[in-house]
Amino acid sequence: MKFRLFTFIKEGFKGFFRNGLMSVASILVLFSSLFLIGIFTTLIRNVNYNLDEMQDFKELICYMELDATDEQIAKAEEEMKSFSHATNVTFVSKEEALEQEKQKYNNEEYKQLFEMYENGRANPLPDAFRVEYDSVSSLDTLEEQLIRVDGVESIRNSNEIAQNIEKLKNIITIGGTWLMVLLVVVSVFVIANTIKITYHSRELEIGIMRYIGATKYYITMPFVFESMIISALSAGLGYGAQWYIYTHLIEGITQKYQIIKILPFAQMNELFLIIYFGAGLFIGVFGSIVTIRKYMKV
Amino acid sequence: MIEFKNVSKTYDNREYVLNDVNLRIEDGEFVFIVGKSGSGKTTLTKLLLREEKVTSGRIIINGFRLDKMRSGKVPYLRREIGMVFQDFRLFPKKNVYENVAFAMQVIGAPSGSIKKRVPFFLDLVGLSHKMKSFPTQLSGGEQQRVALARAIVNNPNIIIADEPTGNLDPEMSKEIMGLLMTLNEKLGKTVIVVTHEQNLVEMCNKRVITIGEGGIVSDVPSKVCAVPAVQQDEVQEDTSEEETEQGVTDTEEAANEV
Ligand SMILES: Nc1ncnc2c1ncn2[C@@H]1O[C@H](COP(=O)(O)OP(=O)(O)OP(=O)(O)O)[C@@H](O)[C@H]1O
Ligand SMILES: [Mg+2]
Repeated sequence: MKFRLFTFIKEGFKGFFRNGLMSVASILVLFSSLFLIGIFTTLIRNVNYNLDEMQDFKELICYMELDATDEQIAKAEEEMKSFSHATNVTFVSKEEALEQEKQKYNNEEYKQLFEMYENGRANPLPDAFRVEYDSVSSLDTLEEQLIRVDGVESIRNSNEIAQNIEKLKNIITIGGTWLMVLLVVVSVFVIANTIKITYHSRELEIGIMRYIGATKYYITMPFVFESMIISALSAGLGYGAQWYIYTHLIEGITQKYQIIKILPFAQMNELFLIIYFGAGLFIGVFGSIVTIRKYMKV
Repeated sequence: MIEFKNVSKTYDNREYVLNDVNLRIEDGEFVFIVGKSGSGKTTLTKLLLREEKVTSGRIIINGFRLDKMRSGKVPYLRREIGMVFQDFRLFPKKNVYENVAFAMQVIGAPSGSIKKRVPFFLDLVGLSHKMKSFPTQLSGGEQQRVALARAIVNNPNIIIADEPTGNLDPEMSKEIMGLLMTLNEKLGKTVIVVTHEQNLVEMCNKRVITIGEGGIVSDVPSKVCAVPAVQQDEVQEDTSEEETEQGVTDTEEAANEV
């Protein structure tokens, strides 16, 4: 069996070199596909990571009715604190709110306006609660719970950034996944095409082998090895490029724009290895077996 | 034993190439299959190799039920049948020795056995002196003898030859027919020869099955006493008596080792 494995590998290399240009073209296409998959994974992972880092933004403002009584407010606070997704509940009184607004619009134009309120005119701002929550995914549940609390007038999601990023994350994840599927399919076709050409160049030989009782396994294995060679080289190239891009370019960008955080390469490494070598070899083996099965007549 | 029971074959579901054919070929028989072009002779050999499936009916070869055979089993059927074609079908980039040895490698024979059997069978077909030659350096007759050695190296008990002499001149044709008869008579192989050449058929005096119009038109057994002495001698010339006797024991010995 050892001897046979050696034969298969040798035949695989023969096919690889016999197809010279075709092999190189396949490597380039497969490399590009894998590299794009790697880039998308980088994006998706890091967007998720950044989102997770944005705990500070996860906050809702709950406005109470203007005529809410102190008793109602105290009860509401207690109830809000009991919700499992609410991690922190802070009361902001209408006076504090007014003070905050005053700080915000601190110029001549508005000075008069605020003076009016200070001189006895009714404060138009309601009492409110600032509710921090655990994750964006539990936002809907929490909002439903909060609006039912007695005395709550309305809810404002101050966390538009987080929501937008969540949307972006969804788009990137879904779009990226589809693109990856597409790239895998394209790659399988590329490999299949190379193997098809090798197969046709050896069709006569294979026909004779079938007549003298060679099993499909025996005939298929050299092709599988040939595409494994192509896949392994593409994977090696892709992984190298990914490493270079990640460590030099991306890390450079983050140093310039410090709001964006990027996972260290070491934390992505495992995933990259799976993508490049796992997916690469899968594409190679799958592409070649499917092709041979398709063309090999009994 | 080869048996066809109510075998029908159509490629296009309209015209039947073979229609309800019944046929039985015993172990060790020598059979000619003749018929007009397009009558279905090659189709018949393809059915025997399970290259084509029957449309209906059943085929049994050495206990294999071909009509029910899964494709994964087909290689094992083919190892029991040695096939020879009109166009030789040798591997052009392998030399004579490698061409024959490859048939053994493909079925996973141990290299010791390959080293013993290949020279023996090349000797049997009279080509031991051309082991290193490539197919392009050989005459048609020599190429066909390599193909024959390859067909029998794995010790199948059935040999099927589809127009084996179609590309050969009469002298070479006789040589090949002589070898096929030797394999039948001395090694007990079942031999099925498809041919157009009426003179070869007449010369050999064997069972002749004629097919046409979708079935067997005639099936004439060999006439036991009608062997013309001259032709018999010609056959004997190709492989001398002792060599062949030696061959039988060696073959059995070699066969035991595989
Ligand atoms: N793969 C195929 N698909 C469709 N029709 C086929 C196929 N192979 C053979 N036929 C048809 O079946 C019939 C028998 O063909 P076959 O090759 O068996 O004839 P043959 O007796 O071997 O002829 P020849 O003496 O010319 O070799 C022919 O009419 C041929 O056109
Ligand atoms: Mg034919």
